[in-house]
Amino acid sequence: MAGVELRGIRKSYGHLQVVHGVDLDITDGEFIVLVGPSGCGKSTLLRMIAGLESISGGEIRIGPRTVNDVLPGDRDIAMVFQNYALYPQMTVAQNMGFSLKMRRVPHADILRQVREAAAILGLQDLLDRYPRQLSGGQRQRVAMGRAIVRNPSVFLFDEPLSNLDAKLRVQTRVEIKALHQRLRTTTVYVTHDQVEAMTMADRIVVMHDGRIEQVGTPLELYDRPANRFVAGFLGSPAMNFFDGGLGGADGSRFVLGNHAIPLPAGAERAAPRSVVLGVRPEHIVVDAQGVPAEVVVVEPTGSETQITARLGGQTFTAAMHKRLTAPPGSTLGFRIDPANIHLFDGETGARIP
Amino acid sequence: MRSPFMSERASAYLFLAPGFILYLLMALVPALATLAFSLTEVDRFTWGISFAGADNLLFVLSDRRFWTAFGNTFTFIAMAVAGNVGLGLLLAVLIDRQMPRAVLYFLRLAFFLPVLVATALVSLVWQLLYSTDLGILNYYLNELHLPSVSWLTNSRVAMVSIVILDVWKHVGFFMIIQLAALQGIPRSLVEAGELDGAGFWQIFRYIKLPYILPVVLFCVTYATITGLQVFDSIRILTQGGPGDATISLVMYMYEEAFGAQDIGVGSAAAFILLAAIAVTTLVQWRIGRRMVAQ
Amino acid sequence: MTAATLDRPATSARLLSALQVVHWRNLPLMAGLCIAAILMLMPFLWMVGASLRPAGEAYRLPPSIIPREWTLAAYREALGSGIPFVQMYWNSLVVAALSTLGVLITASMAAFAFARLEFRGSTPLFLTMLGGLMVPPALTLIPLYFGFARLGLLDSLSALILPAMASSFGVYMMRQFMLSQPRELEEAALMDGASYWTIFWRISLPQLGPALAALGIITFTTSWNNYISPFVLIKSWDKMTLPAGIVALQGLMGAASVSVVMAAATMAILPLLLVFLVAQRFIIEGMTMSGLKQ
Repeated sequence: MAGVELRGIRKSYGHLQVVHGVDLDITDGEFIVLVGPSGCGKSTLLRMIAGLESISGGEIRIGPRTVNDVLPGDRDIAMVFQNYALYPQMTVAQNMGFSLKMRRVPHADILRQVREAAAILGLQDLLDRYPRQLSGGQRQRVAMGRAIVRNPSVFLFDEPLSNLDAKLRVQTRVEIKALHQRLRTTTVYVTHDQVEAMTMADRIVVMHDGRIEQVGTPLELYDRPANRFVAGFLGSPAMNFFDGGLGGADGSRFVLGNHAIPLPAGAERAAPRSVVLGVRPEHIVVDAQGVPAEVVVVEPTGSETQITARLGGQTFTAAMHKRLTAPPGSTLGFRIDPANIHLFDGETGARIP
Repeated sequence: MRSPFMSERASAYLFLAPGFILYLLMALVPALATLAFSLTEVDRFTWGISFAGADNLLFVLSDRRFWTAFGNTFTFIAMAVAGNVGLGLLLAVLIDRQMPRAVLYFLRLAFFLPVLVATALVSLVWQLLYSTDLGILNYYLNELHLPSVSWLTNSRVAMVSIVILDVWKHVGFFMIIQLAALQGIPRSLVEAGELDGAGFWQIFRYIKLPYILPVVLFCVTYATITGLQVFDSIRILTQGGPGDATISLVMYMYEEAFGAQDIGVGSAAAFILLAAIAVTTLVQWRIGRRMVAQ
Repeated sequence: MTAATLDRPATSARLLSALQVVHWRNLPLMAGLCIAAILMLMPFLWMVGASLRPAGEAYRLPPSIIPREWTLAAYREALGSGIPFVQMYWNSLVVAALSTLGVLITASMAAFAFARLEFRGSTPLFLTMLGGLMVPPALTLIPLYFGFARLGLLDSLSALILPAMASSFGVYMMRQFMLSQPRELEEAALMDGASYWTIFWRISLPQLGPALAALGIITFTTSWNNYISPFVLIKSWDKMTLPAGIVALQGLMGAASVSVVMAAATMAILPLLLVFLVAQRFIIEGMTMSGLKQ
């Protein structure tokens, strides 16, 4: 078992730089999720940790040693691929034992270790099957079995759930999490799915355009996003943003058209030229005393009701657990809970404290 | 510590080595040697090599026999390409419909079998079929009260006879390739055309043909390049005769290099052939790019 | 087909009418195509028929496809010790088998380097090999002839095998196929600690099955059917291969031996025919795949 350290990692293809100096410390036993939109460099970063991509600059350390120049097979890491990458001409047992065979582990030991790993994942009855005889979920499980059989110091997962149907995805998510709690192996997990990131991670790394936007526990990121990108990326339905400015003598009010929304007291704010106010849908409540806005559409999802409404030319979404109907075009009053608003610099997108 | 990407590079060269060395020694060096030979005068017995400059090339270009071979080859190509690709397309269009499996199997068998077997061997068979007095073809012509044809001995017919053999031999290949292209057309395209009220011919003309045009172009190029190399069938059916009526470029090259033992002239002819192939490929590439761009 | 549908009234009405519409309308066309297909097969039928006729009857007109008098005399003579046919058959087999094996191994290894490994010079080296696609083997015969003469390899089977093993087409085809396959398996093996050598043999090669089969069939038939190379490079009977050898036999034995030559040709075509009958679809797909990818 070991931690992973990334120091100033860069990757470029010719003149095109896709990862811009990433620094990250992953502590031993941690479950880290790299998340971001496609093309953000998260998979490239993972593949550089794996040794499948060369590193254009910086240093990668796994445990005590620098692995920049170590072959993938010698880094003591295992990877679960998006399409599982099971060897089609080998049985499940042979697939799982292949890495041990490459390390010239004695046959009897391979057999024992494969059985142990199979027992953990409930694969005992599938050991003699070939990959083509397995369902998608079973293949996924074998791919994990192949990773844990070696007892590596780091697990890498590259979007391992993206080929499963929705129900199986939720189930497997839980299993991977349970497996990590049992084995406590350092894990780096790449996904574009923010729900996976929120539910599985000890810490989330949000990436965008080859840079890390923010690192933190799921709730830290959710409650105090460092910038507008992170705020908008995590959470569904996504956070609402209102363009406007700060008003009042002490800058304690957010001015939106002819409405002024009081901001939580205390913070001394040097008012930038423009400000973006962010508020999550669940922090907007319907209140007859609130700011009137025109209803665009009401969407009941069963467990909650989502209302899309228009205020001063800007559209926002409110989500609430009570059921409610309102015809499009009607007017409802909305109130924003001042304790749960986020302010971002209109130009840099950075959080204002 | 060894770098993985170093070892990757070293492995790559090792993997490449056998194939590349073979290619170098058996294809690239000989091709370059052909060029070198064409500039020299080689004495076959002493291996004395003297520089001859453009003499060989000039000799070839002023040799009437070369131009006969050149003309013959292009006559052959014109007829063989039209026959092979055109008839192949026609057959492909006719076969491209629902048919019982057994019929399809039989058709593919019959049309593709000639593709598979040696030109030299079927040329032996056709030589007998073409025989003026004892051949089957003339027997049936006579049965139909038509005069016998001197298939291989009449200088105006001989090239046609060779083309007939060539089309019989290769039409299946071009049929299968163009059939595959036709069957690769998305059904929805054809269905959209049908909904728009297009008939069979219009669908072929405006939907299918434009779609498979790159493949047709490939077929034309491929047939041209193989046509430039025609040798086996002519060598066996007519030996280039009667007179020089069917002598081809490869045959000219062979006779100069191994018959007349003039390596330089033979190589110059080979080189001209190589240039013709390069030009054909280039033309196809340019047209193909323009078609893709459209 | 229609008879079959009428025999089965249980077939749903929709299917029945669909079958009738499709097949009735296509019936004349299918009949026409089948007649054309039979005509395509005639030369083969005539060849087999002639090989089974007594020598004196070979030229009998009207030609009967089915001989009135069956005899295997021609086969006995071809296989007898008077003619080097068995030796030629063996030579052809050795040359084709070794050429094919060589191409499959060297081409897939080189393709692995080009498709899967990063190394300096990858692109220029690949383009160099690609150039070989334009150089037909016939055009390198002159330098090969003199090269082999100097090495003392002229008139040996090696002179046929070595050039056939250099296949830039094979490298190109295997590389394209490999690029169309996901890299994940090789990456997984790399993570599992396998060497590139192990990855190639145990992971990549097993995935190449269809491409290897197609390339193998193409290489084998090309070698089996090659006429011009042995024609130029081989002088003695005991090194001769089939097509050139049978043509030479015909020249040697004269017109009286038609049935023997036809028996030899039939036997030379037989292995290709048998494989084709069993694996028709596969061979055709392989050949069109390689044709289209060029």
